[in-house]
Amino acid sequence: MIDKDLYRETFSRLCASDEAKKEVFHMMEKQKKIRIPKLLRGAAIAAVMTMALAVTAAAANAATDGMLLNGIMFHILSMDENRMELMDDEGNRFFVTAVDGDLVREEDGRVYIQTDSGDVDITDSLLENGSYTFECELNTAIENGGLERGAMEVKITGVPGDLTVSQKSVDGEGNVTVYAVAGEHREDGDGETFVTVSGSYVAEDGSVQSVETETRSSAAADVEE
Amino acid sequence: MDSGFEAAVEQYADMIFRLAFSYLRNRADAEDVMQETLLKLYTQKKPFDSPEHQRYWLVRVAVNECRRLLRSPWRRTGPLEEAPEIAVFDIPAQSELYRQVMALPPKYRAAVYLYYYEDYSVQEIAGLMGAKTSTVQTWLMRARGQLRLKLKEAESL
Repeated sequence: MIDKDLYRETFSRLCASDEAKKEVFHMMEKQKKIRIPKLLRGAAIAAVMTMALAVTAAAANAATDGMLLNGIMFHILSMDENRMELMDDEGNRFFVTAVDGDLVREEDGRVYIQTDSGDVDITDSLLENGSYTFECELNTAIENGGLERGAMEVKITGVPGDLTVSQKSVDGEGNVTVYAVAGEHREDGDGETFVTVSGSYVAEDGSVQSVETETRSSAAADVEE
Repeated sequence: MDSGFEAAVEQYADMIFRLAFSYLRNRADAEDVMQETLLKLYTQKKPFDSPEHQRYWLVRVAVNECRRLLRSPWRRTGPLEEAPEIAVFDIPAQSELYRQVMALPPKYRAAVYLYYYEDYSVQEIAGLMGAKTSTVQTWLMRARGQLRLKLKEAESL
């Protein structure tokens, strides 16, 4: 039997540093300035956006063999609730289109996924199994506005209030790509808009590659549509 | 500054840190988990039913963060053989208990912390760690067994 008092006395000595605690407040202040638009809220949106970025980046940087997205800048030409038009530094234009609403949403501690036949409550299954996986179809406008219909497997793990959503897509040639994506949107005081997409994916050789790219809208005025 | 959030940081930062350190055996990782968990509390919009509900939610999120870090290919890794002594202990028995607890597998360490420090029941720990009640019972039983053996060995030296 473990001596409970001795255990408590011993482990009460472990404390987070004051610096780490103070940093929470700095992070909190930073968090206040971040406003995530609807375009980036949904799991599907993040996936679609990354797919679109990957497609364009692949076209622009095919020679880099896997590490496609690092350091590539995109300019936002226009953006509304559900659609973003982007252009890279080489003048390639493409669109990112959101599905209608969020694929995964939380309400009153319950987790729902959106299907054609209505919302499905997956909370109990999620709590019981630790994860929930489903497949959906996405209409995505990518590369010069062309529409593409694709299948995507969405996996949700975690608990209400702390969900992780990852997506797996299979292209026409059977190549599988797995994404774990986070999107962040912020505006600075001068009205510039930044969109950061970061995450990881499994490359064709099975290695895990990290992805981070930032899009800014400041150049929008400089770009002729 | 949000005074409610400030109070929550004051109240829960060390609890989350201890749990995360028990899980990860790394101060920097444990502090990352503490910060990440508290930020999630800050951005969490739904009210909690009670302080216990909030505490339970925080522990659940911290456990999730620890797991995520353990799975991450970018995780900082340190020497596996011994956990760093990050505190000063008054008596050798504390130092020895710390050393032997930190030599247990991560899940055992976390379960032991939640049971003996945070007073959660086996059933609650099962819910918090996403495991079956019988599995948590086994973790605790094995942890006790290993600790009894190791501490007896250390005493006899």
